[in-house]
Amino acid sequence: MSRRGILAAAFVLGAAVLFGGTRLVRDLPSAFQPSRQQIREMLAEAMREDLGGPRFGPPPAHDFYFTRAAYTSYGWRGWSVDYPKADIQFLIGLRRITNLDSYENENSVLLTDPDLGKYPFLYTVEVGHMAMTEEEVLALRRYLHQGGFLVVDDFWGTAEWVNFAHEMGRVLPGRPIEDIPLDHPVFRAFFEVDEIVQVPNVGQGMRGGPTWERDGYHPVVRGIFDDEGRVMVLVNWNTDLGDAWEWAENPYYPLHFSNYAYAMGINFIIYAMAH
Amino acid sequence: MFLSAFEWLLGSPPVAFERGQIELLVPWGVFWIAAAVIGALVFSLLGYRRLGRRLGKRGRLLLGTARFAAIALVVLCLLRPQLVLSLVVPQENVVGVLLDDSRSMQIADGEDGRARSEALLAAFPDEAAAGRGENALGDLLREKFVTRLFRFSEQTRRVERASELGFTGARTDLLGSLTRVADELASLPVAGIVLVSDGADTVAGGGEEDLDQTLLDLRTRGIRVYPVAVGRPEFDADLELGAPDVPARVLRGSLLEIRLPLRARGLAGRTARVEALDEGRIIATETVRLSGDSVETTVTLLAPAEEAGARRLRFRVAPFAGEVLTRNNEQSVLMEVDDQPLRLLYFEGQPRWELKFLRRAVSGDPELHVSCLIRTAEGKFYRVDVQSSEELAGGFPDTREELFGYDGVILGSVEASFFSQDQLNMLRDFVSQRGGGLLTLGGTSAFGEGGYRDTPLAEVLPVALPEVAPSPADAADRPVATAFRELSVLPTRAGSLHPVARLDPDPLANADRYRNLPSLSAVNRLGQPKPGATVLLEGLGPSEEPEAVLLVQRVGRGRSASLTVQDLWVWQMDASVPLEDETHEVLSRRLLRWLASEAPRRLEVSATPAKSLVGERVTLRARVEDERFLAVNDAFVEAEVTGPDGVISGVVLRWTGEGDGEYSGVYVPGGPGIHQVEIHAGGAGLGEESEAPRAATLFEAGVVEDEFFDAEADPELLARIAEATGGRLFEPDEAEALLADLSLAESGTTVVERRELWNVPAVFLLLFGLLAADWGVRHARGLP
Repeated sequence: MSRRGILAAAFVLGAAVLFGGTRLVRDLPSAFQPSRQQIREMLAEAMREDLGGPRFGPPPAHDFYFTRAAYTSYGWRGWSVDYPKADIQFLIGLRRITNLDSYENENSVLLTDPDLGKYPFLYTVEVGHMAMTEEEVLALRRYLHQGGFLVVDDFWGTAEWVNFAHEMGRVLPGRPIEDIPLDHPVFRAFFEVDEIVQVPNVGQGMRGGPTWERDGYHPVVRGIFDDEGRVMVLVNWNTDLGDAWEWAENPYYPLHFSNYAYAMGINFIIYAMAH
Repeated sequence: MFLSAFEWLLGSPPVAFERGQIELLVPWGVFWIAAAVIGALVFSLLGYRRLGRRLGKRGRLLLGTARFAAIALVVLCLLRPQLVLSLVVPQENVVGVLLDDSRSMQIADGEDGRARSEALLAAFPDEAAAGRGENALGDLLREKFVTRLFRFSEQTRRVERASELGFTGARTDLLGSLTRVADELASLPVAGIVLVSDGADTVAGGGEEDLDQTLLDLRTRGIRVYPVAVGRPEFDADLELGAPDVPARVLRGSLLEIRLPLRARGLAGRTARVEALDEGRIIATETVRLSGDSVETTVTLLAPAEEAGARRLRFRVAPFAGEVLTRNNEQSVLMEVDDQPLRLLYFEGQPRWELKFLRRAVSGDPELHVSCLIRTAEGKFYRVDVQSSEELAGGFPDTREELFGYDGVILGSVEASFFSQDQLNMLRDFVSQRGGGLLTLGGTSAFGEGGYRDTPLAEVLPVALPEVAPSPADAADRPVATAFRELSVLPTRAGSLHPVARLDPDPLANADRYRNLPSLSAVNRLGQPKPGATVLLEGLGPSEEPEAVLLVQRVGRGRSASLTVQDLWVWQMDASVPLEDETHEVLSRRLLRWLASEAPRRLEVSATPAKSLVGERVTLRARVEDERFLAVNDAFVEAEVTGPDGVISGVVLRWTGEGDGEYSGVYVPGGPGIHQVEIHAGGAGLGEESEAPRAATLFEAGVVEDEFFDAEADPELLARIAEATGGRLFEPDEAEALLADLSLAESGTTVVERRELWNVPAVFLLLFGLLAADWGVRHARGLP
């Protein structure tokens, strides 16, 4: 992306996020940050409902739902980190910049939900603590083989990588996780991205501290490919795009991180919807 | 019986009265005739005046009429009526005799299993054997005429005697032979032409105009044709396969739809198993229950076209016991299985999952290349799978050259106002003139909701667009669906038979395949299917009436299809669909192949007849169009014909002058076997030589089996020939009647013969009857 392009996009994004994001955050009940367990219970309860009754879930008429994959993990970190503010703020930018008919609110789904196939794009975070059940492994494997697309984000360092690679080995045994070169179509599906930026978490980003966490010094974009060479799982390691979306409206959070995160997120979606 | 009674009563056969003229040889003047008639009238009325009281009014009238008639008859006889005939002079006139020498004459459908040829040979014994059959037509003709014998099948040749016929002709060219014989005899006094045939013409086909023209020509020359019909117009039991209807070219990997006409007589209730074979391998079978009424039914076979190149498909039904003819239980057809990929353009007005999953569905199909263009933001496009950096670089094509380079176009959810008026006209012409395929998909900016109702594109859609408001926009200017509904999709009856929607040959199993799939959703409000459209899939939703989900229609030269749902991809992604289920892939590929596979190329070639005789002229026809698919008349078109022996011959095709862009040339095969024709065109408007359009076709020499198809005798055609030329249709045992008819010729060398009519038995019997009636009435009333 050229310098002028980055500046123009930054201006638009900044304005959009400042305006829309703050309002949304203000409107949200302060206690609304449901735990993984709470979400699972809500979803399970909805699924137990009689089919004739009301269904839990977003209205069905949109082309696209930015969907979080809810999985089982160990420890306190899990899929719902930055949820739903990061998702909502990203959606504001997505809807402003592209003409994609996207549902404007967050959406989350259990990997074992029978409706998983309705959302061919999944985003999830903190996979360094992922500990999927066997049912989740089977459901995700099936989803990816059917044509689903998974983006993972916000996990750092060797230890978390090892855990994630192990979990993916359960889902797609025998498929390596490989670097995605910068000339890959995913980097120019909408924006031209020609360098991989390390996006720090909000605290380090606002303090101007180091951008890395643990031993994750170098940001990496990797992928798991299908037999036709298409990306099935897109891995953002040693970077935190979610925080850059979530705090894009914060004047202390460096704008260039948010710009990069939006460009990457939009590219992933356009690529996923075309390949 | 009637004819001989007529001849005894009036002294001449009816045809003599038809052809001749009746004249009165009046000995007296008109005055005396009038006086005699008035005298007779007065006499008959006055004669009964005295008896008036005893007779009553009715009796008087009856007797008066009888007496008047008797006197008038005598007066008529005194006027000496004569029948004036023109009769041929014996041995001074020529009769052309055409003997059918085609293979259909070998069919043994006569009494006691006699072949048609035997009936012919019995009617025309060799001169040496003359006298053996006393009433043989040939002998009778020779007695009175100079006969010229011709044998005819696909060609016409003079023969000295009928025994020279071999009955091996591969075709019957009735009309051509008649014309040629008439030409050959043009300078001779011709009494008529006798045509001995089963009437099963295999050349004229349905050319009604040719038939009428030829017959009119013969009539103006004054040549009467006397057909003698051999063979039975209806077999007792027979099954016949008609000419298979297959596209001349099919894309490799496609499901080939073959329509095979089948006709059976006398086999009602039996079942026939039709097999399709490719190089000895059975590729499709279909079982049909036969009705015995000789009504033609069409068997539809769906067979995969797996191997590229020239293929000869054979079709067969095992013969039934008692069939008169078994060689018509087999058929074959030549076709070209093509592996040149089809080019399609898929345009989406916004990123949609439909595009991703359609691309994935066709990615394993080497014969389909889909270039995708997605509008990802206002004025911003994302190209996928383009074949060059220039392709679609300027967005949606705005020249005919660019758009018409595709064989098919898929329009996703994009509003009509995106296109210029010229682009909309081009899209319509793409279907109707260029002959491409157009697939329109459901979506918030498609159909009526996309504002297409009053655009040229609506003309080529298979469904009518009602007046609906465009989709309203949300805060972010996205169109919002206002008629969202879920539909359970099922195949229609037509869909169960259609190569696109038939997933299983059994209609019930086919419906089950669809029933097990999840619901899809639609957002467009549509009208009725257009009159020529076929609904292949329909959906049951909230309304009671099923809605059309997949419709197809032929429009002009091209094809149009509408898939009214917006998320066919659900059949790929839904958790209820087994991973190994290929419905989405199969349906998508079939739909796109069906859509584009028959899109004409810029150069099209055909060879007729596709099955020829060795030494027969095969006409190569080509149609040449430029990049805008406009006909080109000044191209250089050359064909290379590769024979089965590998020898290549060049044929230059010239503009016919009859139709724009139409060229033809003639090739005469020198030996039997499959001949491959490669053709290329060059010249202005056709591009560089390396890009000049090329095309190929096939024909096969030496395998014509036409004579055994539609082989029942056709006396109707023969009767029509007779009627139109003034002749009459005869059976082989009516030799004398035929001769009598022929003798009354108007052409040739004739003499005038006058036959007195006053002395025929009919006059005497009538006079006797009238007088007897007169006497009888008077006797009954006791009168003098």
